[in-house]
Amino acid sequence: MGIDSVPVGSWARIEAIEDAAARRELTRLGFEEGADVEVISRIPFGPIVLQRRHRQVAIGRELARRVQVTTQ
Amino acid sequence: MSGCHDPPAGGGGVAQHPKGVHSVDTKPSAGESNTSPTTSVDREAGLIVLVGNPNVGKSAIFMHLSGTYAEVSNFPGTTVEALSGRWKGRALLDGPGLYGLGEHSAEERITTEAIKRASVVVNVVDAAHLDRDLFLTLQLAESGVPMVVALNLIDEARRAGAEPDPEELSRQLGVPVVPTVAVTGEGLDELATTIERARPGTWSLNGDDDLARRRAADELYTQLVPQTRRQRRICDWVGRASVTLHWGIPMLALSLAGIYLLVGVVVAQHLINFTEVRLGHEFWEPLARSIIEGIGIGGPIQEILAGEFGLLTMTVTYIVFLLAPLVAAFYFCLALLEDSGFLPRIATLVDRVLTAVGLNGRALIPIILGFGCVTMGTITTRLLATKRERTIATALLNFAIPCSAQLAVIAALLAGLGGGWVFAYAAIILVMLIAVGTVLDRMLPGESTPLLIELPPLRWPRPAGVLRKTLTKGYWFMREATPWFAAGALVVATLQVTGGLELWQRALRPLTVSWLQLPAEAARTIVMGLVRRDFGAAGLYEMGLTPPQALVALVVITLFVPCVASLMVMAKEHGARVALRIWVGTWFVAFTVGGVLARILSWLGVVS
Repeated sequence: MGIDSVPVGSWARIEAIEDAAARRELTRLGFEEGADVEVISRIPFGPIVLQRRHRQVAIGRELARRVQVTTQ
Repeated sequence: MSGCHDPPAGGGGVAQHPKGVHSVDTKPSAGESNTSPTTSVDREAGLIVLVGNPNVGKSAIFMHLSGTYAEVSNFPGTTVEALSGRWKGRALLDGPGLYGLGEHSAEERITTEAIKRASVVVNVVDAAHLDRDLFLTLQLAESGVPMVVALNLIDEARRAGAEPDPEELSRQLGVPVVPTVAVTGEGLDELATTIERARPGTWSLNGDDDLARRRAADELYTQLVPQTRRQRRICDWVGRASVTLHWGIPMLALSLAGIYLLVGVVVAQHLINFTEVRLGHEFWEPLARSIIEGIGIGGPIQEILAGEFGLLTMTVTYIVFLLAPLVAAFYFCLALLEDSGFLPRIATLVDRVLTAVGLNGRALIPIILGFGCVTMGTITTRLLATKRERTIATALLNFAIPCSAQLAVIAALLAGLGGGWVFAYAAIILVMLIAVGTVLDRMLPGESTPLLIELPPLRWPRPAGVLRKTLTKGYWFMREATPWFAAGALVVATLQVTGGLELWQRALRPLTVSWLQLPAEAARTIVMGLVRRDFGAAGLYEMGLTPPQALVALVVITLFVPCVASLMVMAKEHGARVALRIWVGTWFVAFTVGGVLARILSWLGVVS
């Protein structure tokens, strides 16, 4: 499933990022395929905010749909 | 004791590059002495390049070494071009911030090119976010360029209980590592002496695979930083809350209210009232006039120097007593937003709104900067990903975003009218922004790219930094604006002396009087507005307009042509054709909207 459907406060493992440019950028930032991340906010119809260790990134809703994750 | 950690001579651990690790600390002078034979060929003698992720303190280190002012902000993308300076007779470059090397963006190309020419690379990393920064550090350590790592923000890492071990980092990479706190100057002298001992890294990665490098960086990170639970601090909590709807929106509203209170009320009404009227009209202008008369200058020259649009009277009053305080107040607020790290969080909150006009949240940064100076905002549109987004953002900036000087005059004018008019003005400009954006979004081929932005931690802005930024940017803006303002005054004063103004006013009567329902003198405003919009707005000041007329005139002048400096930047960034189209487009939009607004107001029965 896409990370856009993960509830706030839950953890998920990034399995695949289906956008080449975003995959490169997220890998550099440390949100690579295989990383465990926490969803810390979902702006209604807007971006999803992810946290890993102590760092945060915001990704637009459209992109979040293409970030495939699994949850425990 | 020494805070600097060199790798053990002879190379322990992972060293695979024995040539780079020989006795290094005995030759402190020539920059070339330590480079390994394989890399010295096309290096530019002595060139030092600062490389690092966005927002890690490169600019602060650059300033310390070169003595040149560079911007320090808490958001990515401030250094759009490489800044150059000098240090001990050597060329020093401050590159744009980036997360990795490659050929994927202008920033990456600029930096990759500079690294090829460098004799030393100073890799500035954020000790508190080392896991992220190590990706670029490993890339540099693989490349064979002589380097030094500045482990910056070590104080923040220490406070968070996650201080990386500099000795271990140095041993693993095979390069010197110096812990620093750039903003206070801690460790910078040591960094300066260590630059002489830079050497190529000994790190090697199998292949050139981003994912493999990322995993290696993560693994190295766990060896460097004690994996204890970090303490949550109040800033972390506020940072998390600021990107949720129910906390973020009130925080945003509160900040905007604060800005309005400071700029719109305290400065625009109370302070300006004192400086403009008391110091400008009542003290300076009579003094200037009596000096001109005293010297015995008369006729047209007197009119040009000390008349209604005089260079020594009106121009000085507007620039010194009206614009300067307002522009400074505005830049102060901007500096707070930038340095606190709130800006990317606001970008996240408004992303949804901006996608409606073909942009994403990231475009908020040039737009907010545009409220300071539209020219500056236009330059910053470079940080947007596609040409399409850059074009839309540039058009929005140049159609409908008033710069600080303009806002200053507009705020001063609206302040006298009352809240309802302020609201009406803001609403009209907002509707125009949405309209222009929507039309362009439909017209231009392609679609918007998704938001992907790192959110830096919230920090308390440093008072010294905020003050310095306010003064520097305010000074820069005033220096930029003053000649144009004076040139405009000269043109208008000359037209007045020669009777040209009268002719122009008569020629424009159908437009000003019949269509916009303004006094004929408003035509002057249009001449002035061609030079600078704020100058045009300033001209409205003494025209004795009724509130509806003032609203119409302000809307027209806000939507009117961008200042000459912005026009030139647009032509440079997007080509003369796009610039000219936008310029002509503003004439059309400004007068159409103004006329329609005048009709609506009289139809509503608002007395005019």
